[in-house]
Amino acid sequence: MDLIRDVLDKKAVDRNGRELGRIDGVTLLVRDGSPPQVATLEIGPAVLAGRVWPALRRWAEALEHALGIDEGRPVRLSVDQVLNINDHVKLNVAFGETPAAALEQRLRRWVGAIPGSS
Amino acid sequence: MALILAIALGAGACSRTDRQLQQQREKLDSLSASTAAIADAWLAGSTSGTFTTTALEQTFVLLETQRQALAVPNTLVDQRAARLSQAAEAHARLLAAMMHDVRAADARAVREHLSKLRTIGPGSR
Amino acid sequence: MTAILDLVLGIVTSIGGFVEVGSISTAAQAGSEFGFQLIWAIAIATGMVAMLIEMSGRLAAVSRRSVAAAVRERFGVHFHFVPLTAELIIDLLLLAAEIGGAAIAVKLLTGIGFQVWILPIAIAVWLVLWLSGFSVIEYGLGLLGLVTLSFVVSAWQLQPDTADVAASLIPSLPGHDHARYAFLAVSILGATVSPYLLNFYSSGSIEEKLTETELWVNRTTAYVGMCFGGVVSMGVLVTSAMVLQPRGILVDSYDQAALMFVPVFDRWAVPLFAAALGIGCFGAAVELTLNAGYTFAQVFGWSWGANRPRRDAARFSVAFTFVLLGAVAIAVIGFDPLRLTMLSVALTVIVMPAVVLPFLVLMNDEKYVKRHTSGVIGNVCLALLTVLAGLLALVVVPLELLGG
Repeated sequence: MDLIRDVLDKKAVDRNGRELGRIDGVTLLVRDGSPPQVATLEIGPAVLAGRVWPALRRWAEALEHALGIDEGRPVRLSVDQVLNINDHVKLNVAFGETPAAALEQRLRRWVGAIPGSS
Repeated sequence: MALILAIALGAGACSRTDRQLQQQREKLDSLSASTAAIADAWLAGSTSGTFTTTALEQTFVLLETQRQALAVPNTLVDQRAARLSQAAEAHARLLAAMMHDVRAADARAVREHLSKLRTIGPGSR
Repeated sequence: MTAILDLVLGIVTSIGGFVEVGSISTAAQAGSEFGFQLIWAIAIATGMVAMLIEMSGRLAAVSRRSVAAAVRERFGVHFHFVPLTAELIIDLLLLAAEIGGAAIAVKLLTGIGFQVWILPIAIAVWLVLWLSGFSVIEYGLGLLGLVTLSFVVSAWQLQPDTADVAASLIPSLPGHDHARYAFLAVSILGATVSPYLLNFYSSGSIEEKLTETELWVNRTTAYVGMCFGGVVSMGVLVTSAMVLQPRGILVDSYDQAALMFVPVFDRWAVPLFAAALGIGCFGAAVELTLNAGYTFAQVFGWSWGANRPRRDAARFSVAFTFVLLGAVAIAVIGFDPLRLTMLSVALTVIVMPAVVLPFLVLMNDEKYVKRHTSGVIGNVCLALLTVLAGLLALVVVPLELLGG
C-alpha cells in the first residue's frame, strides 16, 4: 500500500459510511532496526495546516482553542481501526463517538434553530 | 551621447504625456456622448426620469474623476490639458443643470443644455 | 425520457446562467471600444469552458468526486493549497462583484444607490440557498436567466453585417490601443473560464446523481449549452458595438451599458437590461455561495449537499453563510462593482494554469475516470489549453498596467 496515494488526503468515513473528514496526517512509529510503522491516522484542520507550514498549525490550534472546539482534536485513530481502504478509508468508529462530531453537533443545534433548516 | 539620451528620454516623456492626454480626451468625449445619449433617450420617452437622473449622476461622478486627474499642476501647465479641464468643468455645470431639468420634467431646458453641450470645445463631440 | 429532460434542462440552464457581471462587463467594453473585433475571444473562451465543464462532469460521474475533492486526493495539500486559497479569494471578490451587479440592476430601476440593495440581495441569495434543493436552485435560476436572451434578440434586431461578424471569429490586430485590446481579450477569457464553474458543475453532477451511462448527456449539455451561452455573450458585444461604439461611448458604468438596449427595446430598454443584469448576477451569486460551501466541505471531508436538510450538513451550511457574509462586507465598502469585476477576472487568469493543469493528470488517471480517459485529441487540446493559460497568466499583470 502506498500511504500517500491510498491513505493521505483520502476521505475518512465511519462504519456506517458517515463522513468523518479527511486523513490529514499520518504519524509513523520509528524504532531502531525496524521499518517505520503507521502509528495513527489524524484528522483535523490544524494537522492539515501544519503540513503546509508549521506555524499555520499553531495558528489553527489557537483558533480552535479560541472557539472552544479543541477538545480531543486532532482526531487520532489507530491503524487497527481501519476496516478497509477503497474509494475511502473506512474506520471502525461511529461519527458520534469521535471529537469530530463535537463541532458538527454544536453547529447543528444553532443551525437547527433557524427555520427551514430541516 | 548624453544629448541623444536626453532627447530620447524627453521624447519618451512627451509621447507618454500625449498618450495620457489622448486617453483623457477619449474619456471626456465618451462622457459627453453618454450625456447626450441619456438625454436623447429621455427626450424620446424611452427612459424614465428616475433612470435618467441616476445615469446623469453616475456620469457626473465619472466626470469628476477625470477632472481630478487633470487638476494636477504639472498636468495643467500643458495648454491642451488646461483646455480639457475647462471643457470638463463646463460639462459638469451642464450635467448639474440637466439633472435639475429632468427632475423638473423640463424637456425644453434639457434640449437647450444639450445643444450647449454639443458646442463645448475639446473633450466634447 | 428522463435523460432527454435532463439534457434539455441542462442546456437551458447553461444558456440562462452563462452571462453574469464579468461576461456582461467585458463584452460591453469590448464592443464599445473595438466593435466586433473581439468576438473571437468569446468563441475561444466558450470552447475552453465547454471542454473543462465536460471534463468536470465526466470526472464527477465516473469517480463520484468533485474537482476540489479529486485534486486534493490526487495531488495532496502541498499542490492544492495555493490554487485553492487563490480560488477562494477570487470567488469572494467575484461574489461581492455579482452582488454589486445585482444591486446596480435594482438601482437602475429605482434610482436608489446600489449600496442600499447589497444586504437585501445577499439575504435573498441566502434564503434561496437555505430553503431550496439543488434542482430548484439550478433550474429555477436557469429558467429565469433566459431573460438574458434579450441580448441575442437585440443583436439580431440591429441587423449587423453578418460577414463582418463572421470575419471577427478570426483574431485580428486592432487599429488602435493594442495593449487595451489584448487586456480585454484576456479579460474575456478570465470572465468566461471562472474556476468556480468547474467545481460547481462537478458537484452538481454528483447532486443529480449523474452516472457513467449518462456521459452523453454531460457531453451534450457542456458543448451545446456553453455554445448557446457563448452566443448570448456575443449578443452583448454585438449590441454594444452597434449602439455604443458609433456614438463614441466607452463603457465605464452599467448606466452607460444599459443605453445599448434603447434602439431596439425603447421604453423596455432599462427594465430589460436591469432584469438581464440582475438575474444573471443573482444566479451567479447563488452558485458562487453554494460552491464555497461545496469547496470547504469537500476539501475537509464534511457532509455536504444542497439536497440535504441544512442541519444535517451544518458545517457546510455555516461555511457558505460565512463566505456570503464576507462578500457582503467587501461589497458594502462601496467598491465599484465594475472595477471589482475586472480585478477578479485578472486574478482568475493568473490562477488559470493551476486550475487547468490538474485536468491533464486526472483525465488520464484510470483510478478516477476508468476507461473514460481523454483521447489523443482531448489531451492535445488540454495541453494547448494549459500552455495558453500559462502564457496568459504571464501577460495579464503587464496588460492590466498598460491597458486596464
